[in-house]
Amino acid sequence: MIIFQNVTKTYADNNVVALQDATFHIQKGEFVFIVGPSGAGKSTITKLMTCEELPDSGSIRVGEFNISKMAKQQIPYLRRSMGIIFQDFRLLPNKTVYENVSFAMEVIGASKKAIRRRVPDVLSMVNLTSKARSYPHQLSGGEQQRVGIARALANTPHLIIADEPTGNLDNETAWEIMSILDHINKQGTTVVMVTHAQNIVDDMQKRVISIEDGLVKSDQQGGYSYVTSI
Amino acid sequence: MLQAFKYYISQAFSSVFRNKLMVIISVSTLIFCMLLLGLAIAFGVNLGYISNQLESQFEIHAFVDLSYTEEAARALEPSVQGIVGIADAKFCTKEEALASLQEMLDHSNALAGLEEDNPLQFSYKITLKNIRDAGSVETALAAIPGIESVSNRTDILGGISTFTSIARNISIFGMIIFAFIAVFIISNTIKLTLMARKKEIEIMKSVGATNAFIRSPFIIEGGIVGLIGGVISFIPAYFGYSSVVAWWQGWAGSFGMFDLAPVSQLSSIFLSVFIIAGIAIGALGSMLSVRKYLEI
Ligand SMILES: Nc1ncnc2c1ncn2[C@@H]1O[C@H](COP(=O)(O)OP(=O)(O)OP(=O)(O)O)[C@@H](O)[C@H]1O
Ligand SMILES: [Mg+2]
Repeated sequence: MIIFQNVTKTYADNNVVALQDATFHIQKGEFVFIVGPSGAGKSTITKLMTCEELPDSGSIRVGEFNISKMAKQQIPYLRRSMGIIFQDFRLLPNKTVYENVSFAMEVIGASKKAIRRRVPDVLSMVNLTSKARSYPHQLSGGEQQRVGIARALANTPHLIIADEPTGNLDNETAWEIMSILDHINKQGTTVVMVTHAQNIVDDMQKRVISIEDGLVKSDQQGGYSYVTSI
Repeated sequence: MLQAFKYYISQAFSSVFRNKLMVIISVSTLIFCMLLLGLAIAFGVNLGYISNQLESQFEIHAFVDLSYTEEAARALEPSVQGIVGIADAKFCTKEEALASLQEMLDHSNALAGLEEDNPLQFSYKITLKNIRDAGSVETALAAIPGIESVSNRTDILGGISTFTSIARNISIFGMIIFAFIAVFIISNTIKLTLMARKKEIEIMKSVGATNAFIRSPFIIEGGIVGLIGGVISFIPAYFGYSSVVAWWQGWAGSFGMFDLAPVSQLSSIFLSVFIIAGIAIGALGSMLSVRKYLEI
C-alpha cells in the first residue's frame, strides 16, 4: 500500500532536514501509528504521502501512485484515493454537517445521486445521522472530528491518513474517535495515524513507527512506552 | 459536467455580490478603459469612413497654359487620358470654371462682369481608380507640355488622416494603460475572494479537486466583472457618440463637409468589442491572481 524507500526531505527555506533516509513499508489493511517527539518529522511523513511536499531523494509509492515520479496533474487523483483527517477538523463553518460531507464529493464531480446515497451512509458510520442539519459550531469537538472522519470516508478511500486526530480532544472523546478508526480499519481500510497520545498507542497494540530527529528509530508491533524505553 | 458548471457559476455570482466594493472599483476602472477603447474605435472607424468619402470626391485639377486656345487645350485630352491610373478625365471650359467659382461664392456679385474677359484657365478634372496613384498621376500630368499646373485636395485628406490617426493612437495608448490598471484591480478583487475561500480551497485540494475545478469559479468571477464593466460602458459610449454625431451634422453639415460614421454602425462595434474586451480583461486579471495565490 505505502512504500517509503530511503526518503530524505529537507525544507528549502530553512535547510531543516525533516526526514533522513527513511525506509518502511505499510501493507494494505494495516493500522500504523507514527510517534515521536515534537519536530521529529511525523507531519512531514504525512505531507509526503499526500504529496503536499516532495522528497529530495528516495522513492515513495502510495497505492498505484509513484509519488516521487508522478506528474503534478496526478495529485488530485492520488488524494481521491485517500481520506485525510486533520487535528483541527477543518470543517466549513457556514455549511451543515451534511453539506460538509457532500462538499467533498461535489468538488470531485460526484453525481447528485451518488452523493444522496453516500452521505447518509458515512454519517451513520460515525453516528451523526441525527446531527446532519447542525452547523459545526453547534457540535462538540468529538462530534466535529466525526464529521471530519465522515468527510474523509465520503469518497471511499483505501487509505486514511490522520495527523493527530485526537490532539484537540479530551481522553474520553479521543477514545470515541479511536474506536471509529479501528472499526474502519477492520473493514479493510489502511490507517496511518500520527499521535502523541501514549495511552492510546499502548492500549491499541498496533504497529508503531517511531521517528526521532528525522530518523526512523524503531518500527514494531506494540506500545509507545515499549518503543521509547529502547 | 453540467453540475460542475452550475457550481462554478453560482460560486462566481455569490462572490461578486460579496465583494461589492471591489467589484464597483474594478468596474469603474474598466469603464475608463472601455471609454478610451471606444474613442480609439470611433477615431479608427471614422478615419476609414471619412477617407472613403474624401477619396470618392477626390479630383486632380490640371490647368492648361493660358496661351492655349480651347481647341489646343482640348487636343491635350488623348495624352491626359493615356496616363496609367486615371479613371476619368473631364475637360472643363473657362465658363464652367467661372460658374462653379460663382456657386462656391454663393452667387454674390463679386465676379460680375468677368464673363466677357474670363481670366480663368481651361482645365481637366481627373478622377483616379485608386487614390494611391495620385503622386504618379500628378507627375505624369505635369510632364505634359501645355499643362501649366496641377492641384488636388490631398492636403485636406492628409491633414484629416494625420489628426485622426494620432488621436486614435493616443486613445489606444490610454486604453492600454487603463487595461493594465483594470487587470491589476480585478486581480486584487479576485485575491480577496481567494482569501475569503482559503479554507474551502484547502479542503478542496485535500479531497482531490482538480486545479481546473478549483480555478474555474474565480476565472468566471473575473469574467462576470468584466462583462458588467463592458455592458455598462456601452451606455456612455453610445450617448456620447450620438451627441458628437448630432453636433457634427449641425455644425459641419452646413459647410458640405464629410459625414461621421453612423451611430448604428459604431454602437454595434462598441457593444461587441466592449463585451469581448471586458470579459478578456476580467478573466486575465483573475488568472493572474489565481496563478499567484493559488499554488496547488
Ligand atoms: N513548511 C516547513 N518549512 C520549513 N521547515 C519546516 C516546515 N514544516 C516543518 N518544518 C520543520 O521540519 C521539522 C519536522 O517538522 P514536522 O512538522 O514534520 O514535525 P512533527 O514531528 O510533526 O512535530 P509535531 O509533533 O510538533 O507536530 C521541524 O524542525 C520543523 O520545524
Ligand atoms: Mg506534526
